[in-house]
Parts: sequence; C-alpha cells; structure tokens
Amino acid sequence: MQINKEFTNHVILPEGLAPIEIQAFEGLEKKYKLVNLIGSVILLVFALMVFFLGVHFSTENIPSILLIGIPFIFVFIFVLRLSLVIFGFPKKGYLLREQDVSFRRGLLIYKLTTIPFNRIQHVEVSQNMIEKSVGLSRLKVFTAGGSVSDLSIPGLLPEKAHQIESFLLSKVSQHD
Amino acid sequence: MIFVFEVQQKLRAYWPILILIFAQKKLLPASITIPMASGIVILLMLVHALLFYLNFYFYIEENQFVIKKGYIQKKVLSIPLDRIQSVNTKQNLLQQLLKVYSLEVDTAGSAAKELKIYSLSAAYTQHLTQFLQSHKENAKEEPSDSISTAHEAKEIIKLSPSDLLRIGISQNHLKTGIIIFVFGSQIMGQIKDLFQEETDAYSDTFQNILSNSSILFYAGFIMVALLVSILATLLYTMFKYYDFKLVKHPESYKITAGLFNKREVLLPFKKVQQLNWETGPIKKMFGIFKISFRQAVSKQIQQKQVVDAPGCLKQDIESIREELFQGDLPDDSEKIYSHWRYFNLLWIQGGWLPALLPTPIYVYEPLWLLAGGAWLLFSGIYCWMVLRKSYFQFNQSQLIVGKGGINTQWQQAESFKTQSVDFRQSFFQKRRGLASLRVHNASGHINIPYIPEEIAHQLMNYLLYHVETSDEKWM
Repeated sequence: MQINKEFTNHVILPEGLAPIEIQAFEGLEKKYKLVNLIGSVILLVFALMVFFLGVHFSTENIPSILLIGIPFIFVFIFVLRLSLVIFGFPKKGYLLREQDVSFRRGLLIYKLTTIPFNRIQHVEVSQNMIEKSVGLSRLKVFTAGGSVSDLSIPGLLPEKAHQIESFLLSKVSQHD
Repeated sequence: MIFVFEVQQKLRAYWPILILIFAQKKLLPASITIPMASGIVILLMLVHALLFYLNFYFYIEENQFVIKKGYIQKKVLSIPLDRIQSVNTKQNLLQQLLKVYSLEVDTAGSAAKELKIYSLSAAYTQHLTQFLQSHKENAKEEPSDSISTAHEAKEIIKLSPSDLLRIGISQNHLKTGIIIFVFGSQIMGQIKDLFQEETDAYSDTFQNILSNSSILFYAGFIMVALLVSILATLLYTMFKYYDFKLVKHPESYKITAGLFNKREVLLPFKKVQQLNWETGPIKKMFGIFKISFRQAVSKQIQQKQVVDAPGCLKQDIESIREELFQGDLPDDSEKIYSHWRYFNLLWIQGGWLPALLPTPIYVYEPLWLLAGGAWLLFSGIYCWMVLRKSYFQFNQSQLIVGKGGINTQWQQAESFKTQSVDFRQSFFQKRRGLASLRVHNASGHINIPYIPEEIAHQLMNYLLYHVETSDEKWM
C-alpha cells in the first residue's frame, strides 16, 4: 500500500486546535456518569412503582417469594447497570484529528467509530432532559450511511460541544 | 422558458381508483347506513380528485424542475435540473389499460423529495424523461448522443418466461411458505368467527381426523403446503419480473420489468453504493445468480432502494462488475477468512440460546431434550457452513466480502464510497487478538467478523485514508 507522503492525520486537541504528536482520546466530562445514573434511578423507581401498583390491584394471592424476589431482581439489575456505568466511563472518549472524528466506548464490548470529515452530512448539538439538568450536551454527527453510522458524543460541556461543532462545520464546508 | 403541462388524464385515472377503494370498504361489517356512508365517501373522493387535478402543475423554469400540488395545503417542490439523477416510470394494471405512466424523479442528496407525477401519456413521458436526462448529461459535458438512447444501449440480461420459471423454482420458498401460513391462519381465524356453528361441527370431525390420522396424512399435508408455496413464489416471480430486461447505457443501466406493475428504472453507475450477488444449491443447478444493486437510502423517503435482477448468468455478473466498479477487481487478492472462534459466537447465538430457552419444558417433558439436541446438532452444522464461507478480499479500491450458510452471498463496494467505519472488539476477542469491522456506506453496511486485530486496524486506517484523500463523489 503506497501512502502519499504529504498526507497527514495528526491529533487535534479541542482547546488548542493545533496538531500534536500524541495519540490520545479526550475523555468525557465526569458529570456524565450522573446522567446515566439518574436515568437508571428513574427507571428503577418506575419499575418498582408499576410492580407495587400491580400487586396492590391484583386479586390473587402473590407468593411472598415473588413479592421480595422481583423487586430484588430490579435492584440487582440497577446495581449491575450502575457498575457498568462507573467502570465503563473511563473507556469512553472522542478524538479529533485533521481528517476525521472518532468516538470510542465499551467495557465488555469495545466499539470505535470513525467518520471522515468529507463524509459528514451535518452536525447537531442537543440535550435531553436529564442532560440539561446536569448541564451537559451531546454532539451528534450525521453521515449518509443511515442513522446507524451516526456518531454521538455525550457528556460534553455545552461550550465545548459548540466549539467542536463549529470546527466540524468548517471542515465540512471546506470539502464541499 | 416556462412550459405548463396540464395533466389531462389524471381525472380519468382517479375514477377507477375510487371504485377500487370503494370496493375495499365493502368488507366492513354491514350496517344500515352503508349506502349513505359510501355515497358520502364517493362524493368526497370525487371532489378530492377534482381539486387535486385542478391544482397539480409541473413545469421547468430557469433550470429548475417544479411541481406545484395541493388545494388545502399548497406545496411547491422544486429541484435544480442538475441534481436529477434518474427518471423512473411505473405503470400499474389500471394505468396500463389507460395507457398512462407514473413518472418518478430521483434526486441526489439527503433532502430527497417525492417528485411523482401520475398519469402522463406515453408521449409526454418519453419527452419529459429524455429532456430531464439529456439536460443532466449535457451538464456533465458528454457527447450529446443521449437523445437517442438506443444507440449505445446493449442488452445484458433478458429473462424469458421459461427463465422466470427456473428462477421462481429456485427462490426462497421457506419465506413464502411462512407468509402464506401466517396469512392463512389469519384468514382461517376470520372465517371461523363468521361461521362459528359450522366450524364447530367441522372441528369435531377435524379433531377425529387428527387423532386417527397417520404420518401419511401429515406428510401429505406438508407436501400440499410446499406445493402451494412453490406455486405462489412462482407466480410472484413471474408477475414481478415479467419480460425483465437489463440494458447497458453509457453511464447507467436501465431495467424494465413487470406484468401488472410495469416499471422502468434508470440506474446511473455512480448511484450504486454496493453490489450484492448470490447463489444457492437449487440456483446452482440452473446455473443462475441473483444480483442486487444497492443505492443510497434516503432518510426522508424510507424506501428500500434496491434494484435487482432475480436471475442472471455468471458471465453477466462478471461483466456488470467490470462496468460498475472503476479500478481493478480484488479477485486476485488473498482471501482472509474469519477466525474459527466466529463459530463459537454463531453457535451460541443461533444454537444454544434458542435451545436453552424452553428449559422449563425440558423439566416437564424430558422427551423434548431430543428436540433440543437435534436443534443443537443442525444449528451446529449450519454455523460451521457459515464460518467456512466467511471471508474478505481487499485491494486499494474495492472490498469484497463472502458470506452465507446454505446460500452463498458476496458483497462488493468501492473503498471511496465508505461513509464511516466501526471497529468492534468483545472481551473474548481481545484475549485472542481478534476484532470485527463494520464498513458503512450510504446503502447500509458490510460486516467483516473475527479477523486478526492487526489486519482490522490496518484495513480501517486504509479505508479512512482512501476516503480522506479521494476526490471522487460517492454518489
């Protein structure tokens, strides 16, 4: 494979936007763990509520094993999810280079997605309700490859998210 | 210059459609007000049809193709002429009788709009199609022999009824069989509700038959079901691909096919993102392959943009591949097969999980363990077949992936058409130095499972490098 010697693809850090030799992924804001945490708590509370409502309104006698067992399972799943969030957090990161943007994640299953700048269709900064309350944003990058190939970088400070957004937009318009 | 075409035949086309829709409504449960209700419905539809027809315009103005439609909510769709990729036509049975066409304009870009014109006469259709297409080709500064498209055309594939017969027999009957079964049971259920008493009497006799029946009966039943499904697939194939022709034009293919729903699709080479072709045990006996051209999927129009030829010969595939893909074919490159551990993943997903799911049944009825064991065995064999066929080949410009179980499938895409790349590595893969890649393009993705980590990294980096240095337009 012949590599064109003039081609470079060095790392760009969001603050400096200047090429640096080190290949390092930028981590997400630590507050992002909260976002997943809050989401899981809400889910747990909701599940318990539904369960207890069901028990309250049911006409049959529910064996005590189920009465204790099912909530226990819910809590167990919650703890599992919590540990995944906490241990999986350091594995999440994004990387801006001269020619592409990448995002990686995953504890048990590692996934790295890279989108070259000249394939970006458009970029978006968004916040869901939980992210808004914690004060974080999410950067979404869209390509033409259907929604599955899109990149979504969560856990960014709104200012940084917009900074990266403008950087990407400038790269996109460069190629058009 | 502004041309204003008024769609004359539109009203005529709508009348019969109204009848069709009205006929369908008759299936609703009968009630006294039906004559009144249907009368109102017909009136409304007539009014709608008339208003729609009166408010539908299309014209060409200053290099834009414009469609104005709608009477309550007025819509104006306009598209620059040089963003028109291809113009396709369709004719359903009704339109064939009335000798009118539906025209559909395909555009580039993610903001694809629905540019459809119903009920154009044959003359208009031809003129408009040629005008739109010639204008695009002139914009590319090509020799303008494009008006008479017949000159450079070369017929690649032509399917006669007997070809279609062979193709129909070799199609996937299991799927049709399942569809028929589902539909059949639905209809059976409805009939049962309608004729409750009669079916009660029948079910008694039926149950008697069931309990007294022998294996012969079941075998006979399965045979009949199989025959029905084969017949259904045959008919479907014959109607959908009737008089199928694939013709090569300078920069595109033109496909015409269909009996009750005639269609004409122009497929510019540039639009093809990925090519899939496959064969199977029965297809091999007839020496036929199925080929499908995958185009960009637009997010707005959630349509499957798959254009396919149900049956062609191996040499047709070879010539199509050479015409479609610029650059050398990677057929001489080394075939890199998926690691044998891929079998573990497949077997666990497809064999063990489904087998272990009905564990409670095993506890109650130990005999079912035999069924579970048989499933494990057959799924194991199938997974092994999938493993053996899983490989990829690569050169600078193209990627080919081989896959399949009972059928054998190939997928080919050009490197510069890549949209993004996923590198995936599970905990177990990391321990063995393996990884999987998923290469996305505008029509979907191509999976490369369980290859050495090092090669996965190299391939990913090279694909990205190729995309980032390539000026070629992927569409």
